[in-house]
Amino acid sequence: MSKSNLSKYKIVFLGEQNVGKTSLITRFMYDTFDSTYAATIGIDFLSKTMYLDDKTVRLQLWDTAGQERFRSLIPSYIRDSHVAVIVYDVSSKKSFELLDKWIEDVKIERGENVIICIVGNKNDLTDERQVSLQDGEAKAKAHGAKIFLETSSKLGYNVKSLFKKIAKTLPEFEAAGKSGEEGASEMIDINVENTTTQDGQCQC
Amino acid sequence: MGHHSLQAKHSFSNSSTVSLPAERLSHLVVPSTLTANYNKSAVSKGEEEEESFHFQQNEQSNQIYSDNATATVAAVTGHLTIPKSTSRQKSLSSSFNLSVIDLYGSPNSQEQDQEQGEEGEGLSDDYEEEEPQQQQDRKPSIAQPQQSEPQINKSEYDRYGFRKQTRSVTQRQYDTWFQNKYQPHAIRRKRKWIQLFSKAGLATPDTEGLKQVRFPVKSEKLKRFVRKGIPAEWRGEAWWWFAKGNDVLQEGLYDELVVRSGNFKGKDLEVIERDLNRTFPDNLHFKSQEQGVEPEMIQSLRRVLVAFALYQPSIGYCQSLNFIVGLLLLFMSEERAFWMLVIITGRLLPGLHEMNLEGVNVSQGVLMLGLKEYVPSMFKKIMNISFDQESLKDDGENGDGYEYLRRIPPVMLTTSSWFMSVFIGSLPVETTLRVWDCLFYEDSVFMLKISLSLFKLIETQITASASSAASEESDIDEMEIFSLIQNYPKTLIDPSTLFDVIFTSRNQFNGLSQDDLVRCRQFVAEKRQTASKKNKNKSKSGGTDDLKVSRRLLANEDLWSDELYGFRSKSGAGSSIVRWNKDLSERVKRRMKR
Ligand SMILES: Nc1nc2c(ncn2[C@@H]2O[C@H](COP(=O)(O)OP(=O)(O)O)[C@@H](O)[C@H]2O)c(=O)[nH]1
Ligand SMILES: [Mg+2]
Repeated sequence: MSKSNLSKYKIVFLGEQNVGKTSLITRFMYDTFDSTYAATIGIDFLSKTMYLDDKTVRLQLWDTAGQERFRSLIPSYIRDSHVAVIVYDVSSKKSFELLDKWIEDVKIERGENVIICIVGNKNDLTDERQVSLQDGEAKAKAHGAKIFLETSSKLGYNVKSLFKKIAKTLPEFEAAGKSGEEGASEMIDINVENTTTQDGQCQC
Repeated sequence: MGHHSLQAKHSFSNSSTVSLPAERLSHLVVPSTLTANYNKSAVSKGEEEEESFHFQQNEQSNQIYSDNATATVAAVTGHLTIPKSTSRQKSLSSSFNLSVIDLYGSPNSQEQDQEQGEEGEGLSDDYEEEEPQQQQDRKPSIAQPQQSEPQINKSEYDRYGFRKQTRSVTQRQYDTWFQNKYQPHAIRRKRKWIQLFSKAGLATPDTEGLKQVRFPVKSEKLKRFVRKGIPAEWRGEAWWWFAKGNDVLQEGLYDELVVRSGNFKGKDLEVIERDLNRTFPDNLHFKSQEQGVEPEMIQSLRRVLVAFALYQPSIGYCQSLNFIVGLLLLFMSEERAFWMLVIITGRLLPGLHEMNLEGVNVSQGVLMLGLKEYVPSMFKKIMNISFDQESLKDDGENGDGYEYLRRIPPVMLTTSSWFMSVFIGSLPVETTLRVWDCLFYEDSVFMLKISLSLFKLIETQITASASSAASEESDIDEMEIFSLIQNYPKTLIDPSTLFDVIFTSRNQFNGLSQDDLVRCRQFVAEKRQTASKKNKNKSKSGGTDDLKVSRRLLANEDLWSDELYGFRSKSGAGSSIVRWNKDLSERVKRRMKR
């Protein structure tokens, strides 16, 4: 297949420092987890071809630095992104509270032309949990996020599922992804997915 | 035989007890007696050497520096030759006689003999120095190590404690390159450095009991020496010397800041804390070797970063400073690392780590102009993927064709980290160190030169891939350019690949001067300032801070016209860029007089 015919989609990962953006991406790309990654400076860029059913897309993943001052650099690459994955850490209330700012940044730059996806990472840290699943869901609904999931990049939990859901929001896969009407109901039923999706049909 | 003289004593003496000269330690609170025992056993041909190294502390040291000298690393590396000492020892010794770094291993004599024929082989590594090879006549001021087998570092870790294998380089590639090429190069270069010192009548940094290290005066020759690499174990001293550390050093201030940081409660503290273990997770010295025991290096890193945040509130802590300090600490004491950070963030990379990162935008604008001038095909490609027709129309608003300086193309976010982290993580370690050598000697214009060199190499890669992909010639998309810019530099384990580009006289940018860079920065800052003003009028937030920094970067606001950004020649035509730039300086001077 000629690479130029392949549809390409930009996905930006945003969220506070240390919530696990790099880990999530690394889990998806290489299916590995290290307890430490070097901090991300500026942005990191990765791309991956994803197959779903008989269709193929190329995802561009943009990993960002979380420190506040880097935000001034970010708008230029949010600009033509299709999907914004905003990550918080379920064991950090603060990272959850700061979600609003990130979402606002995205909306300023992209208006409604972007699929917002909220992810509560590190859900393996059950003892340290500070943000409940319900709070996460509520926030996602309030912001009109199309996807909400809790993940653990450490255990690999829900990571593939996350990317599969993202793919399903893209035009190529829309038919497959449609699960009813518009709006909140498009939020895929997490509980069902949680129990089944470790492997799914995603052949990535 | 000649090679014996190359070995620093501490690396190969069978067993030595090093007492640290008290006067070198005066700036630190240290235990009154501290001895290092370095044991090496069972050295016989064809066998691995077993080494162990530990410090004995005869007295408790005082408070903040209490946990000096634990040789945790040795335990982990086993028979490896790597760390001879820990960071703290290193700091205490101010890089004399003890080193974190394993030097060269011991070369065998064949390698030495070959060397005669190697002159002029490659540009950066081997091109000729005038000195004849007369080891026998010279008496370098370091002790003769005993004869031993060539030491080959078979471990997973390199001589600085970094894991050899990365996502871009296999250990095998690393070992092959290091043993066959770089180690001989390093040995050869060190011998030349020793000769250079001896000719200049100076004692080398290896000299025992030397109170103050001096380097030869700057010259074209010394610059060439630096470009070919400073001996690893001299780097700490050399960087300090060339960056003029003594000029900024305020005796005792660092210690004071460390004490004061005890009650520092900025929000940066949390950010620093989270980055400590994410600095060099792949380096032995930064890794916890024992559950719950924090490595010395991590503690040093924390102290320096917090002290700096306290000292320089306009920067505080910015991610990437952790890498810079981390690398410095492998080569010098905490105090010196601190002052080097002051120099790097203030003089060498102005504004790059400030709260609004405006210096990043300026540096990337400068790079764009550099590309436009010297690597035009890359400039065009970046423009093509970054701006569509519409945004080019936007340009009409300011009407000057410099919209790309106001809205830095997203690709340049990748190259931003080249500057912010001074190539740590963007280039392999040994290559990064070579860049650092030159940066301190040649000033920040070297950052531009090396970036342009990288783009030259990337350009070649693109051409190569385009011709192999036959029909789709110009069809290289944003993603591919992005990944090349981001990933290709990581594969450059052999510094000569990169340094050959800069050594090639064809590349006119080699003639750029620091003045050219300063001018260009000012030009970009001014262009960006126009934008900020506009944005401010449109009442967009965030414009005011940008403005302040731009103002600061802009010394003479009215001076700059479009033709004057520093390195715009009527290109091609083989015109000498140096001459042209002189020309420009004249014009500028004349204008300034008016
Ligand atoms: N327990 C746990 N730790 C995680 C998880 N994901 C990331 N981490 C840890 O959180 C820290 C920050 O991760 P990183 O991916 O660098 O965060 P980023 O700053 O958002 O890119 C690292 O120490 C990771 O090991 C997770 O799912 N579970
Ligand atoms: Mg990261």
